[in-house]
Amino acid sequence: MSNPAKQTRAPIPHLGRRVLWGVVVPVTVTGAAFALVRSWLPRLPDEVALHWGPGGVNRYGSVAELLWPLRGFAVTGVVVLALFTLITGRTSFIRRTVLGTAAGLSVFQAGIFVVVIVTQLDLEPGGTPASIDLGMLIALGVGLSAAALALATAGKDPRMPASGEVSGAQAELRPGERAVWIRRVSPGPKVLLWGALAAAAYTALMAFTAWISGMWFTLVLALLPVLLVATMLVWQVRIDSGGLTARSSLGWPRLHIPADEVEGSKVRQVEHPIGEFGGWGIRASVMDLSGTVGVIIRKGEALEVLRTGDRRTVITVDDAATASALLNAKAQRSRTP
Amino acid sequence: MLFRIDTSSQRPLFEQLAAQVRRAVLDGELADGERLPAARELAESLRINQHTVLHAYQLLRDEGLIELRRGRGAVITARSAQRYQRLSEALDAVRQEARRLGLPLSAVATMIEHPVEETA
Repeated sequence: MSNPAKQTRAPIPHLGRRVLWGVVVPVTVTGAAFALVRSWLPRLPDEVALHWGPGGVNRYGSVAELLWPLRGFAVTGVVVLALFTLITGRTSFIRRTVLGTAAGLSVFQAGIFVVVIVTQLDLEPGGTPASIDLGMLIALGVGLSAAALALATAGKDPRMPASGEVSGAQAELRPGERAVWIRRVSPGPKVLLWGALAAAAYTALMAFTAWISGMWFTLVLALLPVLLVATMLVWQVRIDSGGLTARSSLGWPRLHIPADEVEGSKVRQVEHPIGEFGGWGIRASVMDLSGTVGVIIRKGEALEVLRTGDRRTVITVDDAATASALLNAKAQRSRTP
Repeated sequence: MLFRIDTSSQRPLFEQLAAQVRRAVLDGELADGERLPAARELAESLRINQHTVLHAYQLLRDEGLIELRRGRGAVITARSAQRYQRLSEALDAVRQEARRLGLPLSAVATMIEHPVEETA
């Protein structure tokens, strides 16, 4: 851009919270789990259970064979997510997601680590360890709670009213005239039908597996993605004097861009959802991880909103030209009271 | 779709809203089975009374253009656009004729609203 102030990007907000939930909590929890397990090593049998299948333990091996992969996963997860918390999070949605994942995953992984070891303490060589199902369920519950807590306290975006010209075409609004633009976005009926069929088949398969193996814990875990996908399929986009609000049909997730933080908007095409956003749903851009959020429901016509603080939002929606013109007009209005 | 209301206009707000839905159906912008925004949401966004929106929706329901269903809200009735087919054609004819005579459409609208008394 020609504006020299644009050369340096605005700082990502809430550094303290990001470091707390993205670095301090995961490192502390993982470190504590490592230390605890280390102190338990003398109480473990020479040969321990390594892998659990539908019929219980199906592979045994040395203690080192059990510990190193678990440590590897835990450390990799913590490092990757700590990195993400430091370089992303301009918008509260991304910040909440990343901090929730970092805190939740580290607690869950530490839980698995502890559960797998604690069930095998003081076991006779060749003895069968107690079931890990309950422990896993507890680890999942605590992990999800930690994620929810981090999500809730990741912090709102600070208010950053825009100044200067609104970029892009504006709808003409007479004084005394009020306008709202509301539109639903959903995948095509074909995609919806196949999606529903696939989800039903997947759910049935997982329930059947859980039924014959008696491992209900895996069912809970397996159905989480289905719920997650379902929340992301159908969206409603609304533009009024408050700005732009996009929410999934369940009410959450929800994105809001206040009119006075809009620098401008335009119509564009999203040709490669996978290439640009890594897929469909609400997601961060692959190209601009820190600042661009996409609500990508399908390919094609989309509304792109430039927001203060180097933030950008892309929403695939029909009739984006009308939406853009109205949003720009509302942005202009919010600057001239 | 886009809803606009003009608070300074003489026309009642519910009528302004209903007219826009009618036109969107005629233009094909609102397809059969499509859902209109919830009355509460529309009212909030336009900063008007929710009953004004409901009034407009009830008017459209009485015209057979939409159905009001509990839980699903206002849905465009199947083949609603076809109901207006003949009126739409007649309006096209009127517009053409007005253009031929050089009459502004607002004058034509007045003639429609206040028909000249038949004097035999």
